[in-house]
Amino acid sequence: MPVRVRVPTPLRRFTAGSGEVSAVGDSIRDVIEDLEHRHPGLRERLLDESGELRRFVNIYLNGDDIRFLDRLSSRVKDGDDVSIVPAIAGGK
Amino acid sequence: MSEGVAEFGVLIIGAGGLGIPAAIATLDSGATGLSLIDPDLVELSNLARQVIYRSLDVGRPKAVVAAERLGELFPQARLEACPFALDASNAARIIARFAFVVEATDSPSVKFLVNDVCVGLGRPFVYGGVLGLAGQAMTVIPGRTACLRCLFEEPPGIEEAASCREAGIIGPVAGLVGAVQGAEAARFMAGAELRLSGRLLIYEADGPPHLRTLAVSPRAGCICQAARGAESIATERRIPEPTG
Repeated sequence: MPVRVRVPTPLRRFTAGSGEVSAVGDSIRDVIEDLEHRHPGLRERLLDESGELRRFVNIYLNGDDIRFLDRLSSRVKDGDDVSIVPAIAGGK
Repeated sequence: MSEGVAEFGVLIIGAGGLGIPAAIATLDSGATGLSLIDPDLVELSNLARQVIYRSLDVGRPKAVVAAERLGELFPQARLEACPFALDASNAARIIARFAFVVEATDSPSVKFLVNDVCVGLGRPFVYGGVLGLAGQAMTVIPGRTACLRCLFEEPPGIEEAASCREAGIIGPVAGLVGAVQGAEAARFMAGAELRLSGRLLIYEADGPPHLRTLAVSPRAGCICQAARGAESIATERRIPEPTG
């Protein structure tokens, strides 16, 4: 099931500069694994050593925070919109 | 819960790429009381994007120079310069003096410190962050809307922060996000509806410039939940319910 993944500016070096890529899977975790296959290095930026979402990164599924859904097990379907939102902390 | 009575208007933490456009936007909208806190001195490398500073200012405290220049632009303003760092030892005492806070530093730890102190004191604030061609902003109304830790439970680590610094800051992106922060401060001071309370604004400009917002909901177990339901009288008076 292809979904649309919005890649934030800080992570676009893993997607050859693309801000939007496709990925497949039945859950957010599947989508991340597919992203890693297509764009190596992304998974480490999203998940920690225990395989959980890093605490300074968030993922939205169709505009909803996945932590209020079923976290990484949240189900995705064809055409869903997945948005990666990292903390951006620069300012000067 | 709001503690103490705010003596001053807006506190801007950081007098750089975000803080200066935030200050200009705040004052340009009619707010008059504004304080700038920043421990840094003006450096030559700042001049390209922190356009209020000049080459003759290099080596002088940013907060002092910025207050001088803003005073020339807005002679009716009451400006205060604080040329020192906001840290865990003084943050609560300083922030308690102000009605609204603009967080405009480049320090992840300070952003989360400001969040925690503002939540504890019941002081509304607007978060801002920029990196390369991307920026974010979100307004937090303690007791009413989600806080920064509802969105990101912890600040980025040292490695991530270092990679941010390598990516650099693009002046116009910081200018846009800073102006958005200043507009929120001005709206608060005018008693108008805040546009980014409970919403994260995301701006991306590597490609066709793109601006969008995401709803941010209060997270169960977050530190801000202790303050929920105990919003200040001032906040109650000023802030309409978020319209989503």
